Amino acid sequence: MPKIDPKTKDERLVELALDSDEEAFELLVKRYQRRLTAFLSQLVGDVELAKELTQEAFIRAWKALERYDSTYRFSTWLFRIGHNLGIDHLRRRRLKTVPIIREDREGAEVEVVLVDHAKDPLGHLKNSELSGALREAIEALRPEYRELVLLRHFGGLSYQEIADLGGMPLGTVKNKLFRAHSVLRKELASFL
Amino acid sequence: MNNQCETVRYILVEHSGASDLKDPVVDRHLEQCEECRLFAATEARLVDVFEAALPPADRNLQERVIQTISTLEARRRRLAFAPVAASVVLVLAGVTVLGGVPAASMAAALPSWAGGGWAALAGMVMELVGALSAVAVGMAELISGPVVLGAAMVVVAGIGTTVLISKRWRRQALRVRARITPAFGRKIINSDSVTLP
Repeated sequence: MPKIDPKTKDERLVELALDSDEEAFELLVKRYQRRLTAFLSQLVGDVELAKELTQEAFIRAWKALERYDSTYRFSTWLFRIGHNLGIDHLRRRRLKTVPIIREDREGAEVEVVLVDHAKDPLGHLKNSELSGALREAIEALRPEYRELVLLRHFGGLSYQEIADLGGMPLGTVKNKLFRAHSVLRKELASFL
Repeated sequence: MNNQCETVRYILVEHSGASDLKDPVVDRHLEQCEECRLFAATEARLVDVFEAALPPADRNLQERVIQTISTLEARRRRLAFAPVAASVVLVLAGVTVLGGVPAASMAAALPSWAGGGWAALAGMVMELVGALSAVAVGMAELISGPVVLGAAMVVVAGIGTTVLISKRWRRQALRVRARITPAFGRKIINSDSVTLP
């Protein structure tokens, strides 16, 4: 059987995977596992847990492949599955914990995420100073900005995909990401 | 910073700070505005920071996923024909209890092009069904009307299940094909579509 061209589009790979072509699905896993793990790491604050959730997201995607609606991109659909898994996990975890709330620079209440440094999602960064600054900058964002930033920069999703995923107008995504970038540029000024 | 600066900066943020967008409006503005050129450079570096923060690929994770879906796929293949087989067995069981199958006429109904293999297989099946029929006929003298009625219902249920399964399979196959065949719709995002607050 000929090997699949690694540049094959997602839609064609899904088509092949629907015909039980595991190699096609493997290519999709290779293509998205890094970004999905990065996104989930930031969402749940634990890189090992994020890997488990990523694995679960891919398996769920495989099982539900027949229900995939090709009017959306595969990545949008996959990240929706991953996002739901992450949120479910956070909800379960929240039942056992008391959130620590602080105010951000705009006066909005923000939940403080305490990071276990052994499981730090940015622990692989060689520059530990930058790793710490990036973590703090992301935490300083309002939750609704933070999620968009994670989807955009760790998930690699386009503005339209984020709008589809979040069920919000494209203009809202643009505005929120523009504001989020302003905060990030200030927080990371010494590294930019 | 004027209105045009803001418009250009929205576009730059959307395109990860890339200043080579081949957008005449952006290019012209960047040529003239040093502040926006600096902004573009900062945005590009911010995006680089995020790129550097992506974790390395995890080969073990890929292997675990593929191993799991291989197991799932093997199980799915094994079970794919189970509903059809079960419904056919139901039909045969029901027909048998009702008094047997006219073996000779069924053999005659096989297509004339069917080779010896088919005929041998059909013969074996007919022998089995014939034997079951003989048992059933013998039992029919002992069993009551409600049991025969029950057997008739089993036949109907079996035929119904077979029809439903085959229809569902066809519907699913058509749905998948229809979904995949047309060109995949893509909404193209370009700098013209930027809406400002």
